Amino acid sequence: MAASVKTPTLTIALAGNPNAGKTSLFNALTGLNQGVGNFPGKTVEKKTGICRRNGHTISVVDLPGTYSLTAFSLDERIARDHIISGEPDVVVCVADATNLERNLYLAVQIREIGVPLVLALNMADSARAQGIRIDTKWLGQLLGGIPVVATAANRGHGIDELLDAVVHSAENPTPPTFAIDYGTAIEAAIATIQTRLADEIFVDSFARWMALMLLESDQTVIETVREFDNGQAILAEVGAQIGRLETLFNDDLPIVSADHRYGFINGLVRQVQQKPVDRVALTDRIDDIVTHRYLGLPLFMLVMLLVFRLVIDVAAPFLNWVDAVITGPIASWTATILTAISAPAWLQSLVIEGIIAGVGGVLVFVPGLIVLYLFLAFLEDSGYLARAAFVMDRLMTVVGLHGKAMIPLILGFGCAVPAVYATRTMSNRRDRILTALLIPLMSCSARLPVYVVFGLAFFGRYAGTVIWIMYLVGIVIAVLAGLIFTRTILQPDENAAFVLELPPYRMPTGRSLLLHTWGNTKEFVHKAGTLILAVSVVLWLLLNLPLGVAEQEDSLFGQVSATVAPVFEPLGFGTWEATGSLITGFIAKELVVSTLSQIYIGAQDDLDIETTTSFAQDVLEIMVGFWEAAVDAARTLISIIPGIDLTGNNTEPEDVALSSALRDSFTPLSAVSFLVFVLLYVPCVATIAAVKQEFGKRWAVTAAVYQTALAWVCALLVYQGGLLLGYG
Amino acid sequence: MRTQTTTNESTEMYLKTLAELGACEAPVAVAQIAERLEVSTVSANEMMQRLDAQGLVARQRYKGIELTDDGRAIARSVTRRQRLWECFLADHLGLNWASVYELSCRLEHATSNVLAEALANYLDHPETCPHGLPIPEMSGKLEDADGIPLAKLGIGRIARISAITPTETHIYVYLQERGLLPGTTVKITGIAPLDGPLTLLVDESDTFMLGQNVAQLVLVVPFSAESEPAAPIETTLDRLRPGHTGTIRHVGGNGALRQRYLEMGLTVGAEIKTERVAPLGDPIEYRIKGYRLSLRRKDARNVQITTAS
Repeated sequence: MAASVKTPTLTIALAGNPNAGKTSLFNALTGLNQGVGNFPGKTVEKKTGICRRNGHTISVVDLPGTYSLTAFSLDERIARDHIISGEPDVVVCVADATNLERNLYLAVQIREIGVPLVLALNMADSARAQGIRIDTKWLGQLLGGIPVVATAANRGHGIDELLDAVVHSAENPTPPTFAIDYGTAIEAAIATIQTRLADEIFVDSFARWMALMLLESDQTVIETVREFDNGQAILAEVGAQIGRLETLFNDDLPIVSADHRYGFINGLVRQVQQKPVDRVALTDRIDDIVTHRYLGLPLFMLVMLLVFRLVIDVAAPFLNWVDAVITGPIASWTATILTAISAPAWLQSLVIEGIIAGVGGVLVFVPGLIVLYLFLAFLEDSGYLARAAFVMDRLMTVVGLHGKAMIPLILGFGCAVPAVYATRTMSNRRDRILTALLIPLMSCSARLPVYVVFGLAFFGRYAGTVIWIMYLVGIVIAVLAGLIFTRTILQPDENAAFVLELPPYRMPTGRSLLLHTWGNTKEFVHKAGTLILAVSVVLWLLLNLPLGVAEQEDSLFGQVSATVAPVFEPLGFGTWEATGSLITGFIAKELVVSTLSQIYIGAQDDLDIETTTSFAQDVLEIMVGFWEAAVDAARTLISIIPGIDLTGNNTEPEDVALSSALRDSFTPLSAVSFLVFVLLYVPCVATIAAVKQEFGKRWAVTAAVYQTALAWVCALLVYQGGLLLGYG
Repeated sequence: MRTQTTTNESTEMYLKTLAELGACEAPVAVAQIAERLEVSTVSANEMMQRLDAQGLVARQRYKGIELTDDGRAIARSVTRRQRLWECFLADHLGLNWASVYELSCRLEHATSNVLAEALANYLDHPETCPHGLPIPEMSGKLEDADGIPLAKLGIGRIARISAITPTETHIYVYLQERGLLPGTTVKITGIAPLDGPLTLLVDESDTFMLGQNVAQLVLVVPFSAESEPAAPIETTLDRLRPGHTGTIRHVGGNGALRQRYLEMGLTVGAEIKTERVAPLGDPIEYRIKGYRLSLRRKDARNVQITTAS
């Protein structure tokens, strides 16, 4: 009995339009943290979670957000294939109650398939606030007797009722019949084809749906029918019927049937919904400013600038604090413990020089990432990202892309991997590939540590400017690369349409922002904790092998790096240390900094660990340090407002331990050349793996080769050009 | 008595034909009358001399024949009787629209004023005949039908057919077969060179050619801002200015695109409003079915709409 509780007894699938709050509902149901987006097509992967209700264990699958099930785009195909697969016991269609008519189109399409369906009218609170009243009971009746539940997922309202309805539907799995009247002519054709399908398909409602899909020339269903014994005959019949009907209607059948569906929905909405006359909504007033003729673009630039000022300046004090905590108390405690258990010297070396130096060097940047992810989550949830796409579309067409590509590209500033997956929101393969090729040129957050370390080491208080320029260089090169790709291997498809929904602005709930930020940060820490930890250990081994190696240069790692190093000689950083960090950077860019710190700081034997301070003293120090960092951050935050300067510009930013070591190995010019190379070369194996998964080996190889070549050429131009201009 | 009637019938025919040819306003050539009544010019001329002697017409040298007030009164009375009969034959006896003119021409002369008024009462005083021509009042003047000949409409203008001027039955049949009846909307989409036949679009669906001489018989009233204040303007969605609302009439483009539009709610008959244009002039934000959607200008061009403004 206890064992049966653990295995899922029910499987449900969540379907719905983009922006209907599907992901919020998924979070509310499963308690798992997922990204909650407020722009079309946030959810592109099939996510699963588990929830329980009255002794039932329910496995929830979150389908991609789609407007219909016509299987136009990848998202729609994924969603529909899953619904038809028979895997879900119940399909929950999430509809935005404030936009009922459009949202019901998908619900009606799912209803036509004949699978058990529960309709969740989400955002019921917003609808009520707008004075919209919907008769849920009557709506369920008109949709052929299905349960309709009002929910407000972001507040957790209506979840229990929804689960009860789901369980009830699962226990009574045969849904009542439902059919839209498509008119005498089409109905006759459906009946004819349905009869011929009867040998293979035993469920009448499903045969009817298949007949309808055949008439709509649906490729997937045609392929299925082709496999049947009498498949050819059926398809010939379908062809004849289509020919006859299209002459009759003088239009394509999918258009005619969609028209009928909307006709049905229109009548249905009239019966169940009372809606007050549109007022000038807050959204319109915000849009008047945000998408204003002259203000729109500068405002967008300002928002992006603000994000990075926040990430860099506000996070800096916390960065120093985390750094101090890790290299200070944590290292000393670890050393104390290791000494106490009389661990061998090599283990102490591995833990302190390998693991703490490597992972710690990455964890140091968590504060900055939290700020970045928080801001991105706010832009997404509030609905601004869709406006960014709207405002930027005309510009993006220059690069041969549309405004929607803006969203993955902006996400690329966070991490290239989810950004590559986010390209699935675009229906056109060519647009997706081009976007995926450009995403790595957006400086992802993993590259920020490199910029910060080098910026602080070489440019002092101008570090912020240097970092800003790096981001800008990435964007400029992306534009140039886009121009070249559009004219060569990826020419635009004239038939692709740009259809973008602009969701109403919503104040993101603190809960969803935190879930979102925590999820992303957790992923980063997870990466640092597993992949990077593993790499750190391997690296320590390489650095300390062959056994008894004295100088790192003579170690295995040093030898490999030294062999490759001459390739970077013309770029100004042909040392084995720099080369080594770039090699580990292939695995993940976070490793560039951690490798450097391991080589430089790990190599310094004077990493002086005080073991004399008491534990209480350390804890107090940590607390005080955090408070000081918070005060500093608050002052910086205020000084972002022009004209106010509380930080006092005459104080040099504090150096991170690595900085001085770097100043010995790089000149300012070779540092810039190094940064350009880091900006442009393959972001990480994970990105390449994502590209390979989405577009195949050919494009993965193309991406890797073009980015590395681009990085080499650009860094060469910077270094040699700099030398010519006399910046030695 | 018999002679009297025959004379009357002949006189009436001539006077009515003169009125139909426009002799109330301007002189009509004798040859034109002869052709219309299918008689020789000599006998037509002879008849004109007789009518002139009776004071029913006035002959003007080199110009032609004009109706006098007396002549006009008779013509009006005959026309009234004839058109009343047309209404009766078409609406109450269910005879073919194309055939009633010829039939009523025979009945008009055997109709006394008393019978005509009884007929008018029975028909509840119709204002126009089935061909759209006005039925003159007993004491009123003989008005011309509204409109201009279709032949003079010009390319691209849309007009409503107001009336068909009297003609032969087979031409009525020809027009009837092509749906060119009073009330129909027509548009000239082309005119063959050297005053050749017109290409017509009828009721926005059928296209065919029509000879100039037949087009002369069809009277139309062009739609214009003045005459039809509510006449919607046909345009494409990209040209709908911010703040204005239109109704979707047709969604074009390739199959996939059209279907995507439909799924997003851009169905025929749906109301759509332009909200605003992006800073760089493209794309455009619309409001449809209660939500906001943005489309590029070149895509919006595929959507045909009608708008009041």
